Amino acid sequence: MNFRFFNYTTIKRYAYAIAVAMLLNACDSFLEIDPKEAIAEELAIVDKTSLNTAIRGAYRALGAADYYGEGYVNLGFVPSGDVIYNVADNISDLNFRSTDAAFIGPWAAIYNTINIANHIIEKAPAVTDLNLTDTERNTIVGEAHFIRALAYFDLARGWGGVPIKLSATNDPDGDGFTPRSTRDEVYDLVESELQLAETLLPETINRIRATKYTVWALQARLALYRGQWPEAISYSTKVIDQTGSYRLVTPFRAWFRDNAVQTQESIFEVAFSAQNLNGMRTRMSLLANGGEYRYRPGDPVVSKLRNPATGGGRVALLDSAQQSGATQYAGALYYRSPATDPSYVLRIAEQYLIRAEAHAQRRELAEAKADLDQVRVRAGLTASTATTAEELLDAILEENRLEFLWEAHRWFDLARTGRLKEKIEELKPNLTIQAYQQLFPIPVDEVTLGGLEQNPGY
Amino acid sequence: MYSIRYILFRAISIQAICTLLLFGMSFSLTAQETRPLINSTLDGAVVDAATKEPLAGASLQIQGVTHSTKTNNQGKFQFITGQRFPYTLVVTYVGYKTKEVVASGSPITIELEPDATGLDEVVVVGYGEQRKGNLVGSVAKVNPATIKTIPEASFDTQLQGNVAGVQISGGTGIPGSNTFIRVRGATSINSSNDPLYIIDGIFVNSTSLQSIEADRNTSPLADLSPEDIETIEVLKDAAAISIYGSRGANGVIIVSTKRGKFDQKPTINVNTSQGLGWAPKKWDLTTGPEHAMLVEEYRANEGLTPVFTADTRGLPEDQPTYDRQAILNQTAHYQNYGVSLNGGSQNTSYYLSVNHSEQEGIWKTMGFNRSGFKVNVDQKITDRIRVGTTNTLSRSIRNIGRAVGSGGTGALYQATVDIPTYLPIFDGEGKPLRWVNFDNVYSLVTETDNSAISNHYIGNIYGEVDILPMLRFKSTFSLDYNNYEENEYWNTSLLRGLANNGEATRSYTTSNYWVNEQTLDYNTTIADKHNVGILVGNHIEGTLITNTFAKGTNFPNNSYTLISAAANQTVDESWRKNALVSFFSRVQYNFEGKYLLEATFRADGSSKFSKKNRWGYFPAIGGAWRISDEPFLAGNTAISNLKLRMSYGIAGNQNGIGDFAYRGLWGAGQGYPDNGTAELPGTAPLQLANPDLRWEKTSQFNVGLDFGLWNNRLSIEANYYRKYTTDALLQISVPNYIGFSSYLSNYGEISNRGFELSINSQNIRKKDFTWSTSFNVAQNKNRIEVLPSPMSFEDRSFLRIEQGVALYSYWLYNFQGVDRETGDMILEDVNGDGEITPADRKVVGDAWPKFFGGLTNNLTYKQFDFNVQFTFSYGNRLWNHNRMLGEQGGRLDANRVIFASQLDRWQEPGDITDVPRLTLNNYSRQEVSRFFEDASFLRLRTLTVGYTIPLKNSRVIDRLRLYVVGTNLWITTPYTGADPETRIERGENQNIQGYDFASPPTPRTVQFGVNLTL
Repeated sequence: MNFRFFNYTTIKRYAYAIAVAMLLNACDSFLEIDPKEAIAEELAIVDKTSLNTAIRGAYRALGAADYYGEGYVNLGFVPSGDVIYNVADNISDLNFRSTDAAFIGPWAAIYNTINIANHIIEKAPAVTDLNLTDTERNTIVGEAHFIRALAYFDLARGWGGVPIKLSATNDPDGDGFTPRSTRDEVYDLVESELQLAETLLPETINRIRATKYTVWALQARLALYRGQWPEAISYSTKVIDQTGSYRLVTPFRAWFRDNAVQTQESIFEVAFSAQNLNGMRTRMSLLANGGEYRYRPGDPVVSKLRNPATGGGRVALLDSAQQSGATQYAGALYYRSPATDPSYVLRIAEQYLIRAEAHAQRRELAEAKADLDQVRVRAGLTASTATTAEELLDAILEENRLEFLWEAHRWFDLARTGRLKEKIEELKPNLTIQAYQQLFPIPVDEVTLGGLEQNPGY
Repeated sequence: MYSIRYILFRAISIQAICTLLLFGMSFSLTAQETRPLINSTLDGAVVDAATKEPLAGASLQIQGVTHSTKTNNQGKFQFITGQRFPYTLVVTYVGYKTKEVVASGSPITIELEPDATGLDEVVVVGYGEQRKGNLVGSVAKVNPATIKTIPEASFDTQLQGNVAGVQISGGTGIPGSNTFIRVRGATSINSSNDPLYIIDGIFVNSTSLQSIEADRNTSPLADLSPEDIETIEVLKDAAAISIYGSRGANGVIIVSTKRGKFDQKPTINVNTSQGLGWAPKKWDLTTGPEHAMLVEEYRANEGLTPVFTADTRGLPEDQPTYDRQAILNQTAHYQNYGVSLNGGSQNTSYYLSVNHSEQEGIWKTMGFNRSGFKVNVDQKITDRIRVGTTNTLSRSIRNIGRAVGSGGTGALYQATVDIPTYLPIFDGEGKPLRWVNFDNVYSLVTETDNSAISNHYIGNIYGEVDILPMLRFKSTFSLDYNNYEENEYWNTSLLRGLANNGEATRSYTTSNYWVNEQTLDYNTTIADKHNVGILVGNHIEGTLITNTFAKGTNFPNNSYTLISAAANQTVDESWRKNALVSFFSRVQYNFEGKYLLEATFRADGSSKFSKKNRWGYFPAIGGAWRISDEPFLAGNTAISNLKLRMSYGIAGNQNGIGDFAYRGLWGAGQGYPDNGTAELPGTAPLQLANPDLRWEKTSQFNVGLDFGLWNNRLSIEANYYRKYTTDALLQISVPNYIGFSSYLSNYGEISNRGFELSINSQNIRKKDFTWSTSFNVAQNKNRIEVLPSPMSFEDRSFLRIEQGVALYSYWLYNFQGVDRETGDMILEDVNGDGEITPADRKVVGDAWPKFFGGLTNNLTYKQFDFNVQFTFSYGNRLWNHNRMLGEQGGRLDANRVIFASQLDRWQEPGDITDVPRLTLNNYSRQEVSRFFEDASFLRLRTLTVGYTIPLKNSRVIDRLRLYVVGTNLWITTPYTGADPETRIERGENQNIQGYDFASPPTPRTVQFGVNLTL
């Protein structure tokens, strides 16, 4: 044995090496801090519980402030000619700009929703959990496909063709740029997503989550937007025929007043809670009801609603207050405290009007009038006096305007029927509407960063 | 308690392994202590050579050993020492030339010659002190004594106009709110641009802890009483800041609080001041008839029917006018009280103080009260071992008023200015009326119940051992602990309360920021010529910030204000933690004080980065040449100081980024029901991973010249610097169609170049009359050198940065005037396509001043003293958002106020004006450069007149001074808004600067005060 091994210098050297090693080690563990509020991406979807939380997150995203929580819904009803803003606003004057947060927000919120759905669709098949049955897995994947379908439908009806992204995003640079598809390609995708969802989802009633009925209702709307009248009729009929589950509730206000939620009127509504408030309520309500009263219905639509012959029970969509001798009108669809008002996505009344419009397009006037009258009668009105196909289509468009005054409908209806210019200029004579305004502008960053082609005119 | 115990535990355990191992051995050398042998006793006195007045507090050190003492109040001292006569004493005293005296017997009288050069002045630098004459780096020292009583947001605001190159704007008129401060420009887009603050060696958090809808940021620095501050040093160049490594890039502000001195009789200082403040300017609004007239003019131009008619609202000329600003504004009262006691015995010195301050806002509901006390103690255990502690405990209460609120609710400004003046404030029965979508201002100022209470401790404890006469070991543990409690209650007379039937929030934030440091400092002189200093040290820190947020809505009635009474209760919690481990070293060398060299190095390891990028290394080197000490200038009587300095180095930045920013994360709190209404937990993607995330690095080159004439009666300091930031931490925007809008990355380069000039002059120095002037001016050119794609801020993308422009650039339609014939606005058609689209917006300018600075004059005449300070800024522009909202051409009718400036609109062909004709087309664009105004200014920042009552014969009172100080008494500016320095500070984005929205202006104040020394 070599005694030199034990000499003082060597011991010191070893001790020093150990000390340095311990030091680096200690520092490293000291510097390793894991977050508590969030978890690593890889652990996000691994078992039944996390799959369930992820799909709930997807619905929550659907109700995000910029999507069905407010932003996207506003794009439906604000540029309608019927909304007057009390504060500075460009959308109500159809002064559309690519830099406007009103477009940037919803676009981002919709793609955010799509990304969650992509994650679920991509990861669900790999989840191995004995507690997860095939039906449960299929339901969740089916719901994700429905959410993706709704999201792409909402994009396509607003902006036309948009980039189709069907893979989960883990890396900002991984996928490279995705160009815009055409609107038809997007609608085709929506259709195939819905067909998949239809096979995966159960035939049950759940008014806040997707089921087979929800899929049919969206299929009916998609067919209407694409002018596929027979499909529009067949799908809406499938929903309308579920008379035990869905019906036009009476009186008109019964589907939203008195804190009602998930009534038989509703095919799909996004739920809100005290933890997750609906932003539309504050923006819409009168000051006296604690709202911000950012916008109000214009005089023509107010008088239409207040006239029993044209508005009927739909006058319940209006609230009013007196201040200094003048009457202020406001929307009344969202009114609760706390603001747990649902956001309505698919209602049975729309299915009747879809079928009515499809029939009218096919010149099946009696059927068309019958469906239209269902909606009118429920609102407390007399049967329609329209006789020709054109009159009926006009009446249906007008019925849509009042029935869905505060929902994501009017601008889309005017844009798809090509009547935007006529109807807006009638209500706001100092505006001139151009054809290009039938599409929203692509948000500016998507053009500059994402290389997307801007819609013409912007 | 958990946290403190936890911290101690962490510190001790980590410390034990990480450092004591390294220093332990050398520490053990000091363990043996010997009783000193008494070989001589020396009694003496130190006096001024000219006046023979005794000098109290002069330091005497026996050369070659560590034994030192200070003179007492009579200028006397005593040495009882193991040294035998003769030995050499080194006598130093601020303002006098250092003298070496050989003591060969007792007693002795030492005469010191005054030194006006100031080169012996001691300046605090990173981990030590240096003589000003030996500085290599660029360090500015401020003695804020004269301006301490100004009611300011926080003490750092007092640096305004006093330090070249430090751009400051308090500017919100909200007491207790934060300060905009940039030392030599801004180096970062998404990481913080605030300097590092170190108070008595304690690293402190300067970031607002306000968590409830941070309408305005508050400043934790406001918790420190300015009365307790002795000096403030600003470290600017690489030689000075690089020792702070990853936190130094934005400059370092070192604050030294007052301490007692050994052998000093107890001295009591009493300070009090009382004052008033008011808004120097209000917003100029149209009257009711003017408002109605403009609305009708717009409607006529647009072909719309009149709304102000006899049978509806009444004719335009019949409209009344109501003044809401009178309800909001108030004359603010200020009160300050402070008592301090400092003194020391042979082995103990202490400073104790207690203070209380109350500041009201010039807008009702806003206010800031602070009470605190301070205990600083230093104790000599033996000649070689010292321990000490610094403690500040304060309690600050902020009454919070929201200026903009969220969406108009609770917003003071909007409830006051934004409502058309013809609309009544109350109805016939005196009930408050609400208009547009805003609260009633009377309800707001009477019913607002929002406050934040901060219980804040800043303190440290240190031990210091002179292992060898020239080798000093120091260990410090410091803590910045802040409990920040926010309480809000909105009752049903306010919109927020009305919406939710009463709304209460309570947010409880705890910020724990502890630091442990060891330094080993060796200084020696070899052969009387080579001065060498070596410093090595380590630094370990941890930050833990937790927040619990509770909210209740739906209350039984307005009398119940606690969340327990609410029908709906929600709770939220957040948790953030990070840690840093560092090793640093500095080597200094100078040859005869003539050729100076300094090198620093710091290695930082941060928990904010992934393992592979965890460590960052920050070196710097600097040199200086005292040309005036060269033989060829030695005989020159005019030039008393000439020094050339140069430095280059790298500092880093990681502040302001998330603690877990590099990870790909999914967050929770995204619940949704499975069926029915019961919400169940949900998750969703939160952020994209970026394992490559690393430090932001800023290299800085500095060349400076110090020039002194006539015994430094005129001294000039000039600096040129160039800072270049690479790997800038950037929230990179990505196309939203990938499902995210951005991710944090190191992409981007920013440069700052600038020139600083300070001139100090002692114009007159007579017995009864002195006059000195300080002037400083600085220029900083900021430029984004590399940016992958433009980034926009604010909802109308008012601000946008892109490669080649400066930060805080405004992206607008370039306004070129109003067509004289049509009255239409002419905008530049940038892309020349004949149409005005968003593609025609461009960067029209930025918010940076071309130059800025301050001018201070100090005069004393017999018992009077005067201080007058001007600050100025030239070439900075401000986005007048208030005016933009107030000049919308009458199109918003009853929904928005119209500013009086709208009356200048074009009316008929030939009119020359900048305000276009009232049509929708002229007012549908808000992003127009005519609202981006020149906000240059010259401001009389302070004017102080003091009178010291002659009390030569009093045995009790040493000094009694009365003073009056006025602030912001006069200003000249082309800016049309309320204040050219005002700004928005909404917390969410530091990149929004030069934006005037809904801020109360800087108040004009007058205060009267008394300083009493016993």
